[in-house]
Amino acid sequence: MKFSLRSVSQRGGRLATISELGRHGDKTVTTPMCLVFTQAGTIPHLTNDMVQKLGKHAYPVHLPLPLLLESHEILQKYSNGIGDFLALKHHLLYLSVQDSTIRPPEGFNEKSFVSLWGRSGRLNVDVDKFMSVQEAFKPDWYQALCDSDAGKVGSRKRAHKSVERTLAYLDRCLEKHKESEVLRHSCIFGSIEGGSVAEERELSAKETAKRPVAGFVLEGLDTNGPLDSVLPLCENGKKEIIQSILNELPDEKPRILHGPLDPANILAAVELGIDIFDSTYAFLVTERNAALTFCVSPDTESMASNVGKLQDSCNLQRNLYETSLTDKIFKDDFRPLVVGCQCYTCTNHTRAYVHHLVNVGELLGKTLLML
Amino acid sequence: MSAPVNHSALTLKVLAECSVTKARACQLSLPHSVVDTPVFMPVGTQGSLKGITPEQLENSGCQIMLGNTYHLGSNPGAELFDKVGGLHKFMGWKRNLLTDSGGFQMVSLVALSEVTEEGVRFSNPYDAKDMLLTPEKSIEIQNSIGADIIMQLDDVVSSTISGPRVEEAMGRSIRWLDRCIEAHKKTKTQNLFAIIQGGLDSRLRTICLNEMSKRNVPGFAIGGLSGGEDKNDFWKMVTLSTDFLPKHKPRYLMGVGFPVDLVVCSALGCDMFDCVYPTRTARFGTALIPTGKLDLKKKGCAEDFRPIDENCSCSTCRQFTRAYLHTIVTKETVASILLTIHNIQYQMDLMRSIKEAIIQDKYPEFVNDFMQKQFPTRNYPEWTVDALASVNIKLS
Repeated sequence: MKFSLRSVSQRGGRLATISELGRHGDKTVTTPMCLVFTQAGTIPHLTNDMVQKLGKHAYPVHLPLPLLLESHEILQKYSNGIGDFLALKHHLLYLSVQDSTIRPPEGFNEKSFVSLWGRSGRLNVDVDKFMSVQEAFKPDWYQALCDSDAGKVGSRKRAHKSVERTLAYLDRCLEKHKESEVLRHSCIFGSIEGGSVAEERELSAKETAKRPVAGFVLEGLDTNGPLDSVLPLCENGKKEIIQSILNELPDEKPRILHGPLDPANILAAVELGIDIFDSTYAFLVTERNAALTFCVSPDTESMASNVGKLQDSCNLQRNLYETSLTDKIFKDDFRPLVVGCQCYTCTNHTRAYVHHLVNVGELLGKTLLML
Repeated sequence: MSAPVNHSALTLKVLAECSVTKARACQLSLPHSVVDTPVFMPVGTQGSLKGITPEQLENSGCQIMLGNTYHLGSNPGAELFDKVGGLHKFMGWKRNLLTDSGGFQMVSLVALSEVTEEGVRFSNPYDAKDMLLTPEKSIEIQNSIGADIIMQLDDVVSSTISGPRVEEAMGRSIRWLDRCIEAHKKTKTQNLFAIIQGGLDSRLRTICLNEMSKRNVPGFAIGGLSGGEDKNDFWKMVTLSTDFLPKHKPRYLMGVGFPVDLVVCSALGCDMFDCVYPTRTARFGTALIPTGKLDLKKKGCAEDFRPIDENCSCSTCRQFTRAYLHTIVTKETVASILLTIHNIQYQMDLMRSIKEAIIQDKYPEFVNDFMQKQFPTRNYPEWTVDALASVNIKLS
């Protein structure tokens, strides 16, 4: 994989192109980029034909490992890889260690294994199992096994352990990766750990940067879901920690930050120098029957400004970015969710119809919102 | 004899009649599009087919689907339909719609209901509001929803009861039909169907058939069946009705949708069917296949890398294995959508092959072939043997 910086803005944001995507031939992607989040291998509420309506936005797909782990043996027997199994083989497939919509419980990682929570409960994954999974799944990109549990805030000891263990896992993963015929075209990403302890973060970044990884995942920054528990990056010293990490990382490799980040957080992260995000934010907003309605470009009217004109006191907007479709005010509003939006939902359906669907609990409501 | 003046928004063209059975293949022209019969109509109760977009439904070949007046009358309500211009516009469905009268749901879903000559009165246990659904009110709501075919409000009784209530309901259904005809405002764009009642009593059914066929309605439904009655009685009432009903008008057998029932009742002369079964069973993880059913939750599917049906052209079968579906069935919403897409396609394909077999005058062979696949050990249910024998098909 080749990461080519095209420009770096004064404030730190970078534009880049990623090419040489292994089995994908000449295809390229540009960053900043959003991976399409999946749950157990499906984009929530969307069948593949609906996903295709997203066009090139649907190309990079994010496969969190926990809910897929139970399919390990089946995939070994299947032998064509997870892309084929999920009918997503034409997509760029990235396999992450954890599911960023939730916070896994603390204290369940040991020296030789990491805990992943599947459908039937906790699964202990050591490097051997982990790499066996990668060989069965054959993703394009994958995050090396990592321990992102940094213990209580400020705890130096646990933070140090997370750094040490993650480096040890990475080295063993790299060994096996090198020997593996099947993973020849796959790229491995290293994870930066260390909790909130600045020295540990620097150590993790410095050391990981020495390894032959394709890119970096910034873990343990409390950006996991659920939605309302994601704190602004510009508070609590997070910004400083991210800066200290990025200072140690090479410019010409991509940086991933997972989690349901709202637009303000995304913009802050981009300015710091993050390149890749996931769509868990869009997913979690859908789950509470809301549509993303903030103004993206000058062509689309912000729904907020429309609604604000109608009823000032109405508590329709949970925040700046989303609008709940459960509100009765939309019962006979026959405009699209966002006027000017060109997505399938907005060009084919109305606020009134989506309101009706979520009101009576019809699945199509979620499908249209997710899209 | 000159044909009656046709005010209706419907024409039926009989393309072929089976030379052995009572089956016929027709072209039913309705305001929004043509429908090939025999036709199966999937049920999209609340204005959507459980996760399927109108576009996906169109792609499966579906030409007509159902909405339920009781549900839609409550949410979003008739007033909203008047504002938006009908359910077609509201949900973005360009082809045909059929709405039931709301009567069946009111009686089956609501705990406290009382039927009088006026209508069905019920109190909603959740908000203690009293509501009265009269024939006039039902037609009014259905006029607002704007479906191409609307159903009369009938007095529905369970097919498992007998006694004077059955006759009372049959008589009342006739009187309510007349009130519905009187109340119906949009005869140029909406077709009002009568519903034959009379329980499992051939005398009562015959009276009802006699009376209702005197009314100049565009089509007839056979109601009051498919409610858990003995199948041996069921088929007799179906065939009695199709013997009697005029040939140049469509016959709609309500609530029938199991594949075997569709094949047999087509042989008995029915043109239209509806049922929640294929879509409901999809959500529980069961796919319909030529040999019957496939339960994707079963362990046997875990390592089965074949599609649900190798001969099925639906997007689910073209992309996915049983093994994959097994990992997500009942756990991810997409599984429900994928199986629904398959089951709808199965039903559409089944009806198409029924139609083609009738047109080629090969229906008895088709039936035999179909039944052998469903019952490989030839343990045919007694009612299917009898029903098919009554139309000259001997199951081998």
